[in-house]
Amino acid sequence: MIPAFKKLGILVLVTGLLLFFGCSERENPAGPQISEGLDYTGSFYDSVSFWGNLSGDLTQRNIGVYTPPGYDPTNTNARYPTLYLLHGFWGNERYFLDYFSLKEIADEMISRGEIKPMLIVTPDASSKLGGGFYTDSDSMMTAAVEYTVYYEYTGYDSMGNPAGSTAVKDTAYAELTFTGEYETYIWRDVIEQVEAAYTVYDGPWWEYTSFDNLGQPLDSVQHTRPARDYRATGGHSMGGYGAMKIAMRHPDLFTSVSAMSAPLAFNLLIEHIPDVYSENGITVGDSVGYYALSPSQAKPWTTLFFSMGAAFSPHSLSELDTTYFHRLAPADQGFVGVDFPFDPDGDTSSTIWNKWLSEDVTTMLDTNPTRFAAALDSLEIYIDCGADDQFEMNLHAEAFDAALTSAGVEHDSPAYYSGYGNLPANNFNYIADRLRAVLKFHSGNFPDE
Amino acid sequence: MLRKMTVLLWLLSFLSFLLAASSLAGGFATSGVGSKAVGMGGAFRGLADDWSAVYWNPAGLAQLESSVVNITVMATSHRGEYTPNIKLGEGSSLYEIGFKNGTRWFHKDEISVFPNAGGFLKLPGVKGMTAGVGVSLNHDLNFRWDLFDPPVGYKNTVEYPEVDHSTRLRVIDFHPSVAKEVVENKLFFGAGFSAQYCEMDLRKTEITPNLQLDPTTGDTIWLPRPLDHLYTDVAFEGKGWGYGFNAGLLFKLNPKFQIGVSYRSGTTVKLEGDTKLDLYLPQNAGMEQYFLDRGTAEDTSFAELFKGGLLSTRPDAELDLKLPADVGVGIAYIPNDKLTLTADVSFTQWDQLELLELELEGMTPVGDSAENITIVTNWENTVRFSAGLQYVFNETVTLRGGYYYDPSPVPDETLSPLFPDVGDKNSFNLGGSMFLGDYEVSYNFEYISFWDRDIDTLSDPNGDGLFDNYTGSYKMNSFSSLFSLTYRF
Repeated sequence: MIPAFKKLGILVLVTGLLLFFGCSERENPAGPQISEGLDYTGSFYDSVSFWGNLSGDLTQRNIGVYTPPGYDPTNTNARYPTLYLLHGFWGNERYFLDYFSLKEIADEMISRGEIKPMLIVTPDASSKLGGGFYTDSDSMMTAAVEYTVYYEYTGYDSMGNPAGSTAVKDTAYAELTFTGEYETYIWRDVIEQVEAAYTVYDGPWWEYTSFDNLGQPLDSVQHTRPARDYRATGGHSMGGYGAMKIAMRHPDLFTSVSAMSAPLAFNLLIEHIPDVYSENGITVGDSVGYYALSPSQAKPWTTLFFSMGAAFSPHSLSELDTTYFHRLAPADQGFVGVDFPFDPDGDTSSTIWNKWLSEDVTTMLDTNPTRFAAALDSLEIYIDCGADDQFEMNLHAEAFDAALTSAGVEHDSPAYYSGYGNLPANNFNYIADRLRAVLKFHSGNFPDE
Repeated sequence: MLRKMTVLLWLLSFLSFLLAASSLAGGFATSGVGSKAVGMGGAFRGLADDWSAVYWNPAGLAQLESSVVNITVMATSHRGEYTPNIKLGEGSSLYEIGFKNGTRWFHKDEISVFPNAGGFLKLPGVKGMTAGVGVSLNHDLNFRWDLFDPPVGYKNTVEYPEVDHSTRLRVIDFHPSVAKEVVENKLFFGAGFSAQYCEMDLRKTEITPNLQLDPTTGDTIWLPRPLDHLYTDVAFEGKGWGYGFNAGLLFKLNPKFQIGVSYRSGTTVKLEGDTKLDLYLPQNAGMEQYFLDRGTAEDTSFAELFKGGLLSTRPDAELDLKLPADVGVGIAYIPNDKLTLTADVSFTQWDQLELLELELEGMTPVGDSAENITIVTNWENTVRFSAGLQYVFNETVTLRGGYYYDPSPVPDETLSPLFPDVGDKNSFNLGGSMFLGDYEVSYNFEYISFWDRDIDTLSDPNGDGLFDNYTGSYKMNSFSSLFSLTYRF
């Protein structure tokens, strides 16, 4: 009797222990703690790059600046690498922030340690025709132009905030371009304005090491941080093209460059001349229809040719009407407009087309490999594209990839994104996801502290 | 000593009642009914000598030597965990859609407690006839998970619920039965009618392509990620009845060897209730401004879809839940007065459960007529092997042990945390009884070890463009306690 109860007691003990371990409360991990940065979009000052442009595009441009979690403008010891991220056609400085959740993605990736804390600068390169193609359009003349020096506040509300202002203007002589110097604006004005306002790696800097009893610095140590290593540029579509071109021409400024779905081989655009005819419902040889072409968002290829024409082949004011001229202003203002690279019969003008090609990165590399292969060799390069790009930018990526290989530039092959389900991998559907790869790429190329 | 042990057993039973753990057998079935039967691994069709024969083999009820009343308390605790890895796209284009990938998540630890009961009378005046009713919980699930939040960039302005995937299922079987000794001490027959009351809650995140048409042109608008999907919190609550039967035969070849066979019909439970559809809208200033700039009244109205917020409706819903039929055969070998050995093989027709289709009647949150929501299951039939033993120490104490192997009916292509029968199961049981006069106090502890399962590929077996399984890593253990008190009279 008793041994049986002992065995039963052992059974009770064993099952009791198993019960205890089988019923303990389990804790799920806390959710990811995402620290938030700031996305400031503000007006800086008039950029000489746009003074007096004939197309009436903005001269005072906003710049978006994402500052990472923990960024403190008063802490000059903390320096941050900077990515200059250029928007695509019909975009502006809010392009990545508003459409593609740049801030939220950067916050998450920085909080998870997937990328280094960095500033991400998103300039505005918009134009009335959709975008300036990050190109300095031709100078038309030199003239005196009025520009805003600063704003003088004329009133304040009850909280002491400015309630009104007056622009204090001055006049200076400037080169008047057709639509602006978008390329110079990025590599000169934007970088200058950002590096003046934010604690970024902007070259040598001094750290104070001792202070007097009034807090004034007595001694300092000079640090040398090569600013180039902490700057990068990239962009989407038109912005990817702009980033690649600016980095090729200014490899001293950037350590890495990325291009998403970018027009990197203009020769492929020729094949889309028929699209201009078809989306306007005209046929080759219809000169009336040809000269009546006008840009609109509903006609992407037509608008693209107008916009690229404004950037690469604005009609010279000194010339009268030509076969290729498309007017963009009332006749009483003269011959203000752009030259298309093809005539009503769809035949290309080698003169005008060569102007376009002079700004084409593949042509630049092919025709001047000594300069540009060396420039690209000094850069880390990332290229990607959707496999279903409606503008066939995947072919552009392939062509530029081949040009890089031919020139002996060390680089990774482009990444081609595919769609899922009903969502094609077109020009912009997957930007939010590809941004992650782009941020990781640039972050990985910034030096570790 | 006897008194102390009795108190200890009661305490342990009470502890298990409060804390305990439970078992999940194939699909969403429990391991079975009755402390003794479950304690012998469910190898009971050939023995069937207590009240739980109503579940295993009703023919065995005719063996009962006296009338009997039993109450059993089941306490159930599953120990599941799931590490999601759900991404859409392919190759280098994989992207996340809001599942909390890469982190091991536990479902909420909850213990479900349910009493089973049975009462059977030896009918006076009818020799060898027993009749009565059993009430048992035959199917049970209780899983609540926090697995999802809309992806970064969706910027829903209303916080997504913490519990976003859950299943609660209880099927209670009211089972009047009758059994007759057909050939004295040789052949027994029994049958029962099954009225099954079911309550079911089901909650999941419905991820649907955001295929909007341009309000002006009528063309499809390709919305950039993550606006390309809409996220709806779908929560169904329903209850209803289903009806079936079971029947069995028990044949005693000789005093040492007997064999039983039983069949349980499939049952379709008609669940009626409603489904809450909460659509969490994204906030995207770019898209909102884009449509506002176009200026038409339709565009302005369309821009509202990008301002965040929550749209909610609650259409009526019906769901046919098909519970499987099963058939089994068991043997019992009783070499002497002390030892009993049993073994069973049973076949469960889980392939009746091809899908769960929520038939909705009402409007969607955006004002369209609600379409049915389908959860594809495509479960597969299973064969379970069970073995058990019982050893009578003395007239007061009896110990039991049992084991069964039961494959998972859930294929890789439909496995999800909603029905986390993650892998083939090995169940180990240990228990016993104390006989105190007309009373029998029994306890059984069950531990089920599930095989781990990793699902690598999203599947869409019904080809509707939506994935029907959840990729990632699954683990599960299950603990079960059954305490029962039997009175014979």
